[in-house]
Amino acid sequence: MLARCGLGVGSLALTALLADEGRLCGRDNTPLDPKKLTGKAKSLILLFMGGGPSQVDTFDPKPLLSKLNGQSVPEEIARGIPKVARAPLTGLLGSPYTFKKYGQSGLPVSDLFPHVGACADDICVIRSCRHDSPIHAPAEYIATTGSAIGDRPSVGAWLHYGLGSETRDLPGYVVMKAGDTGRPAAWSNGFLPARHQGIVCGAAGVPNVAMPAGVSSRARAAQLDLLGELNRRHAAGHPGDTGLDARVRSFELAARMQIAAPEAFDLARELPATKQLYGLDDEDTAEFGGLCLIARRLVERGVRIVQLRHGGWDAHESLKKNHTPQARQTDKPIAGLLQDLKRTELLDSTLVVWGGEFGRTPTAENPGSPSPGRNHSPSGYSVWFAGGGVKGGQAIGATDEVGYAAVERPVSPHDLHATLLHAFGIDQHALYYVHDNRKELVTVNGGEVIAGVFK
Amino acid sequence: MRITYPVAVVFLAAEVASAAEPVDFRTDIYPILHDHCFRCHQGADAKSGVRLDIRTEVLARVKVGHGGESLLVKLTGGDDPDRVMPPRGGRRLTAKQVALLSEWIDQGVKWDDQLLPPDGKRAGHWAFRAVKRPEVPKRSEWARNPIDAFVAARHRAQGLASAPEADRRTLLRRLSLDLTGLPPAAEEIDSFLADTRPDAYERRVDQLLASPAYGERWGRHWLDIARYADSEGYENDYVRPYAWRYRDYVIRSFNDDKPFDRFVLEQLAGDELTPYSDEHLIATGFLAAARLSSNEEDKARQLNDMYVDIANATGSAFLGLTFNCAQCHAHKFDPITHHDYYRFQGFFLKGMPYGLALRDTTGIKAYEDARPPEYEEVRLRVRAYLDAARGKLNAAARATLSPNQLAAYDTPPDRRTPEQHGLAVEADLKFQYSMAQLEKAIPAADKPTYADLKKKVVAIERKLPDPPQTWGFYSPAGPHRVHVLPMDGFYPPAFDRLTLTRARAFLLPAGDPRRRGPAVEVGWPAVFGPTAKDAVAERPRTTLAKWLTDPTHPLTARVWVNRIWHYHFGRGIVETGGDFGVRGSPPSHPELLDWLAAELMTPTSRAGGGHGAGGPKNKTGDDPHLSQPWSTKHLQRLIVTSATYRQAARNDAAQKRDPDNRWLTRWKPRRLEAEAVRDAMLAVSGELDRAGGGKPEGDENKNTRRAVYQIQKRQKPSAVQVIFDGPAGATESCPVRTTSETPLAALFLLNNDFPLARAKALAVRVRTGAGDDRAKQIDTAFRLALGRLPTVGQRKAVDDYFRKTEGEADQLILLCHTILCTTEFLALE
Repeated sequence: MLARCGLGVGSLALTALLADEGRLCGRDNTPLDPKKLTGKAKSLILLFMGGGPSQVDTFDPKPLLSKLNGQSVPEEIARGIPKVARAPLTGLLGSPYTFKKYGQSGLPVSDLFPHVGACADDICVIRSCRHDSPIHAPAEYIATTGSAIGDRPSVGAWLHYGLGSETRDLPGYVVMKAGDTGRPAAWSNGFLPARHQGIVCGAAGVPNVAMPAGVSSRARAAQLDLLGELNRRHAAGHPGDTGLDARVRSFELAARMQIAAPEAFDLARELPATKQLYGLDDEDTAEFGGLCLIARRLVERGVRIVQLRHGGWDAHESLKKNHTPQARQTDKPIAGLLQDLKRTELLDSTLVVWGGEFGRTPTAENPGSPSPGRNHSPSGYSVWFAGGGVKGGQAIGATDEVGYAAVERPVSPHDLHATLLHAFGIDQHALYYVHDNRKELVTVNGGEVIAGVFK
Repeated sequence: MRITYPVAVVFLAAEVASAAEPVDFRTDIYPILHDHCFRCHQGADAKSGVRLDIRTEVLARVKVGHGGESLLVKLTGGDDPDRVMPPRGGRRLTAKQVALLSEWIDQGVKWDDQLLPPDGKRAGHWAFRAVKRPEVPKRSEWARNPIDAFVAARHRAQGLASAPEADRRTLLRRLSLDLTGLPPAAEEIDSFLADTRPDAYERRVDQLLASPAYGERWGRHWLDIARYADSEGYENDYVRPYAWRYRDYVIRSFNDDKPFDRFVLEQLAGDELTPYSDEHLIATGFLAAARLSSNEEDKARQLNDMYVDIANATGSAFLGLTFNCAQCHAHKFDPITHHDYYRFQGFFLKGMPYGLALRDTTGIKAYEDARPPEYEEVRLRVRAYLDAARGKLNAAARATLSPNQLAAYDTPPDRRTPEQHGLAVEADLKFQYSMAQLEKAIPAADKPTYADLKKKVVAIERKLPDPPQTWGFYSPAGPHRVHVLPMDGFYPPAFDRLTLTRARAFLLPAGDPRRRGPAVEVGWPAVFGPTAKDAVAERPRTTLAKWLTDPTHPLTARVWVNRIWHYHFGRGIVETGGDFGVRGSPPSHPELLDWLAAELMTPTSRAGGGHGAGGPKNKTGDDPHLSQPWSTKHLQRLIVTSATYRQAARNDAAQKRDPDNRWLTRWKPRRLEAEAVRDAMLAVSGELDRAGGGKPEGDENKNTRRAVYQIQKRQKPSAVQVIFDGPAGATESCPVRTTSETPLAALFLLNNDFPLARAKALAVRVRTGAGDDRAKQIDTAFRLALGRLPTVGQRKAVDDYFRKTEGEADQLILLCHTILCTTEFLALE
């Protein structure tokens, strides 16, 4: 051990190395102690809108865009637009949606999101997000891991590594998807140990949690007794082998998870009014509403990170035929989640983040078509934060007059990650992992906390 | 005591005060220089020529004894915003840090030559010096071979004693799992225990090394290093349907004990070797395992990401160095500059990964016999329509370019100015079309004919076997002409023979493929000496491989023997197996490491082997039992027959002082790897399908072949790999796997169909052997799964279990299931 310290590996990393010997979920040997952190957020709900929702049709109103409908991007604006693939400058397309000011703050939200709009005073929109990959997967990786290659740990995995979880009865990092698309790198552990990866849970909850058909609980209990006995005897012959202890305990935890997980995923005992709040009574909103409600239940039970993925926002062919139903499926569930978290006094300790891998071009992909769509655009898009100490009712940063490129306070995905960590009171430079003998940070080689996001 | 205690405190306090806190270079100064100065002021490209990484350079710029007057202190501590160091944007030094620098200069600029060697080239770093065979220490009685002599010497130095030898049953299980990834069958244990010949163990070693299962196990280790996968990764993760040929090549190479220098050469330069052979072309699958985003329209980025992957993997696999950093800036610790990185990348730029036709005559005949005569014609007509459409789209795209862009785009890549490079990369974005876009551009009148033709091609191809091919790396600048097959994807990179042949290496500022810095000469990092320019020009990668495997090369042999050691013992002699650089952990047994490296290159020891099986023997030497150079099996035979390897897991006397087993005072058990978890279950249940090689299996729960033959999809890795820490995404060379213990793994073992199905099969075996006699069943279940009978206590626990489950239907199955979940079953002890 001392030799390791002598190499200049700090105590944080030492803890991480020790943890590598095979510790368990929960909070054993995490490099940071959540109790000592001053951030308000204790858990994260990441609402990832796969495919890329359009900024100018949701949270970033652009009156000039409507005025210039059908025209080319004016030269003085075009000059500032990064030259990436799929970024046409002809055929501007005004938003078919209308914006309305909501709440005391008057934060504008389009009529795609009337319910979320009603929560505007809790929401801080970052309108100047940008990166440079216009392709779904690399962009999703940049958004979730900070690297286009998808080989780094997801921000959720970093949080789990840093803080562990408040529960041992459930996985500390849960991923759920509406629809079956999804890119594993977005919740992967990267170079962190495998126990920090997001666990994809379906309707049945945690994978492998259901006992095999035909095994009675009596038989299972006897099996676990026997297994415990055999393992203890084996461990007794190997004093000092911490890996063995860890594995013995992992079975005890599994047994507990087998009881706790189905309960956490079971919505039967939620009140009808609560279910309604999330839109469970409506066919369109029931699926994502269910995931949002489970997310609240998981956070309530101490799960550190819940990452929900709602795919399908890729409005190439027709913006309206895509975004109208996409928004409808998610608007009420997301608003329900925010209200419910507030009602249960969890909003202050739960950071909710909404956004996609990029936004969409203010120009039409198929100008002149009766149902114009928009292409991918990473040059300026919106992401919002709520809860976890975030100061709601405000918009930070700005895109140009047509909503193409971030021009005021551009924010990188690394900045978003640094900000996300800050909500937990984590200094992005203090959380690191020694991989290949190098100190790796969440924010790779950059990223600053966005000023003004928090109260 | 009470009287002297305060005196001691006073004395200590006085010491601290009077000694003016001697500055420690490693802990006080190096971090300051490293964090605040080295970004600009180190290495050959140092800003303004000011280098702070060489002591003599620092001495030339300061006045020893007068720290406060030195420019270094004045600039770092100054207030003038135009002169302060680090300049704008850099992190300022604290007052305390400035004071430390001053103090350091006052105290004579103390240095640490290990961290920063005097010549600035870090040539002084132990791993960059050529291997010299050290003298073997005097052998103790315990020692069976030279390895033990080195280990015992450390034991003596540390005052530690080795563990006793493990019992033979444990040894055989260890040996089998370690060498083949499979537990020994019950009969094998019986016959081994009954074998009283003095060399029974050595005979068993030779048998296991000669078994095909050995290559499947050790080949898998190499596939970790090679970041092998059956798919391209990134967005679409297209399957590479013939990548498996490389996987089989690796397994074959281990089974044949291909000399490691040859193995390196074939993998790096198989397409350059003469005479041509399919086997060599397949070997280039190492380079071709790079990830590739076929959905990327930005060709400069697409190709650069791929070459970065190739350079990094090569650096990591053979040099044990982390090249990654140097892609954007000079390596902070190792002597790899930004310049070096692109010189190294240059070895690969004239080739690229692609589907390559093999010359295998039987495969070609089968393909040609099955091909209907009209196929070629129909295919060409389809292509003609697409080419015409492409021509139309190209013309439209050209019309949108400015004259400057057009001129840049039309200039061959190697002749573009840096500005033109940027313009051409941008312009190129307009020339990327997906298949759907191409088809849309076919004139309406032709569309029906085209659709018909396309239907025909699809119908023919559905019935046609694939022509014999491999996923390999090929350079058209080399001596052979290889036929390149079409690649899947929205925007696959083109295989352009002319562009590849003319490709040149350029430095990319900050690693940005849109920018182009100066051209660089292809070569290895300058710290390793001058590159053989002419040889590089003729056969670049052959030259690279020959350099790597030259006996004077300091890293290749050391890195490889360390990996072998790591896979046997669960820990390398250099613990950071992927980093032999300045910041890597120093070897626990430096002399042993060097002896092993020397022994790999020039075998002298006979290792108790020589029973005929396994591995080619030295063809030139007089001693028929002497292995040939670079024999991996020779080294392994030495390792597994050593007394060090044969130690028991328990050594209570040494445990406290050697908890990590750094000094090898016992055998440290570890959990089986993902593959061995699967394979061991299938082996004991009697279901293991030993068929080797060929196309990968698509669903791990629906076949019983070994894990190494399951498909390795980067975006959809196998559940067992994900849960048990396999190299799931294969995103980079993986030198060391971690071990996680999570309840999810426990849930998998308890509830997933896979282990339960194995338990069912095992229960059938048990019943076949033991009938309905419960006591016999218990014995048989333990013997089959764990290779031993239950102890009295275990038997009692099992009896308890049967009592508690009286009347349950699957008592025996669940007993077998339980045994498969035990820590003992899942351990490599």
